[in-house]
Amino acid sequence: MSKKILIIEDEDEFFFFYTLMLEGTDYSVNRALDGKQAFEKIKEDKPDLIILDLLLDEMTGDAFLKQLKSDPSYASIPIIIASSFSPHSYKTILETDPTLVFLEKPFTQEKLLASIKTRLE
Amino acid sequence: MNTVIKQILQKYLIQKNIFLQIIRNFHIPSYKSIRTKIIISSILLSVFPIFIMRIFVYPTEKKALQDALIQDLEGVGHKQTELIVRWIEERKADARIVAENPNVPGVIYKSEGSENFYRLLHHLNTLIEVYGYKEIFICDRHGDLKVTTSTGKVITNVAGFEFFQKAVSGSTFVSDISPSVIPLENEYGKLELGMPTLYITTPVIYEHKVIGMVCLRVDVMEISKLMRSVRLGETGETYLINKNGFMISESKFLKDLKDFGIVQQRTTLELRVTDPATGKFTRSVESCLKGNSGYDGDGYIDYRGSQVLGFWQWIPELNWGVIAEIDVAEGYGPVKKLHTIVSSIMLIVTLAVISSAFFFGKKMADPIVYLTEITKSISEGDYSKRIKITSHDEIGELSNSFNKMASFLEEKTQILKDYTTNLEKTVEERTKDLVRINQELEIQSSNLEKAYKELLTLDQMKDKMIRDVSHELKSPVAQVQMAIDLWSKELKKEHIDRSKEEKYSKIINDSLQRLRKTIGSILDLSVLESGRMVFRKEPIQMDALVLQTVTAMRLLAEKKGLALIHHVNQGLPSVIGDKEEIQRVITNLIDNAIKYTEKGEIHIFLDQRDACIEFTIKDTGVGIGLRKEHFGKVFERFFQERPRVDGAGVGLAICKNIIEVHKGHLWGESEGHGKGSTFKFTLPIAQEDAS
Repeated sequence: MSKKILIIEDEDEFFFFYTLMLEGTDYSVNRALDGKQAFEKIKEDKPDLIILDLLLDEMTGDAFLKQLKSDPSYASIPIIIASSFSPHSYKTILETDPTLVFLEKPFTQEKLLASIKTRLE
Repeated sequence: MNTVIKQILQKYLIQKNIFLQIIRNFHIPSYKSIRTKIIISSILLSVFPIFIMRIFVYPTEKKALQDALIQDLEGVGHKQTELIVRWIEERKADARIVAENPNVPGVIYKSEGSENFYRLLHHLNTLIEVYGYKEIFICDRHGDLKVTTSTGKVITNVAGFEFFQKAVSGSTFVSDISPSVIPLENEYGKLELGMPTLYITTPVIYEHKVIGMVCLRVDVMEISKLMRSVRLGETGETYLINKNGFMISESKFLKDLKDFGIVQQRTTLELRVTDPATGKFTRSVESCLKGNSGYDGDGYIDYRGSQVLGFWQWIPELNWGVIAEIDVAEGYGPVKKLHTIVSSIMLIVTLAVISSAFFFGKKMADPIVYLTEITKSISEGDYSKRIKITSHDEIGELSNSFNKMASFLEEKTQILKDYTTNLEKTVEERTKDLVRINQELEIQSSNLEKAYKELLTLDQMKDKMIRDVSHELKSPVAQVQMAIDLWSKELKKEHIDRSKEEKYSKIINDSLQRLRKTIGSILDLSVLESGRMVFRKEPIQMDALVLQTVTAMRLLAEKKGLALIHHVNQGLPSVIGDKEEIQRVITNLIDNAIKYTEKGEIHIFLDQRDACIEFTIKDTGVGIGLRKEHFGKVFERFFQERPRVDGAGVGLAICKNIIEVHKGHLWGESEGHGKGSTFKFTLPIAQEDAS
């Protein structure tokens, strides 16, 4: 059974790149525009992995993370944080949870797939 | 009946209440009071020696007197014993002298009528006269009377009498004092049978043979005289008793005894010496009859029933007892008197001491009590009290010092009171000040807290602004990079998907456009802020300019389904400025209104307000989510309340800069988030138009 990935990304261009890069793989991809929408999607169908852009409109990435981690049913979902900022900007968030993986934009297909593979294994 | 009981009960209760009241009101002096102490110690000090005297001196004195008395009685007793013994011996000698008279044998043998008889009788009568015998008679060895001095009735033969038998047996004999067997002349000159009689007999010896007996009848009253010869006070006496406990001398109290009918004629042989109450022998007689000698210094009851002190001695050769007695009342009279005097003195002294102790105690304690009361008043806060004691002793001195102290205290207390009042006032004022300062501080603190929170908010906002603008620059670059990478990869494939080319190309174009716009805006603002920007100065017809711009923008608004309505007042005065830049401001404001409004209307007003032309654009959009005092923030560069809508957030900053260069004002108004916003700017009317 294919793994489900929920991509939380408000910019169409980046989502286009995700779909292109994951084309032909075994992963099934779903999209949410912001944190609020993401929760609705998670409740509908729990994903195996979440790729999160931290600069979101409705609900910021860190607020989304806190809420997700506080819910025992979803706290174990692996998360990849994707951002055009350097990982240094997210030092505090990354330090609180060592399982978080950071993916800096722009990224290559190899990097994306490697990150997904690491988290799913 | 009930009423009577009730009345009695009521009376009893009333009395009981009165009694209780008296008890309550009765002041029992406390043992702690100085007055009581003085009184008690004075009494103790004064009465103590008297008590000592009463307890130790009086008994000692009594004992000494008792010893002296006993000694006296003993002396008298001994003396009387000696006297009576000697006196009897003399009588016995008299009898022997008579027996040895040379005429006696002749008389015994020749009987009456001879010459010897008369010579002898004469001699015997001389003896009676000289020595006071009652009778002298001589018998032959058969008891027949040969010669007698008696003239009355006589016994002719005495052979049956003990005194005869004892004499003819060869010894001089002293008989008991016993009642006479023949009537004899008594002390009153009358003949009386049973008169107390004492015989002294001795044998008449001739040629070594007892041929007869000489008998002397002794006058018993002579013995009594001997007994009375020693004076022993008013009540003291010495008397003799025989072996039967009868008195054989005359009592000193014969008259009283006769008056009371205890004796008829005399005490001799009539009075049995017993306690009249018990009928038993008195203590002295009882002891005497046992052959003892002794004394009693404590007192016992004599034959009269009086308490006496006594000394007694038994004379074995006579079978008599000598008793010397004196009334206790007389014997101990001096001690009793001393006791009475001492007791009286003691009582008087005690009373005097108690009175003076009370008097002096009160006199000494009263000032102290008075002082204590005044001190108490002062200690309770009444400093006006003064002591009125003018004596020149220590108390007076104390009073003076005390009054000085009280004055000092009064003065100091007043000062203290004034000071306290002032202090209270000062404290009150200071407290008010403090409260005020505290309130101010609280307000300041609250303001500071607010300011701090605002600063925090501003800081966060600043962070967000920087992040937004960075994102606005970085994000398109990343997109371009990724598009190029993916396309390069696509080109390396055997079957190139040409449909993707267009898509990549669009992404790259849009991103570059976005970057250009952002960079352009930032550069524009930089130029504006540097002041190096040159503006044209031409007259601008604002109404025409606004209408023209609104028309140009209407399509954009309608695309989003928004109504763009203008209320432009025609024929307004012109303003001086750079038309292109002013239009840029109007365009930007309309563009923002469209961007931040999802549905509803956008109204545009243009009017003259004083010496200015006022442009207003009012939308039904998201409004400004800041507090009113922070509305100015929206005009700061890179500020974007809602990021990602478009641009770098420098649009309003540019607008504000342009308007201010034209000496106008630009500001925003909003009722809050979601309640729409209004942006206004004014531009001064051109001088020639204004005039």
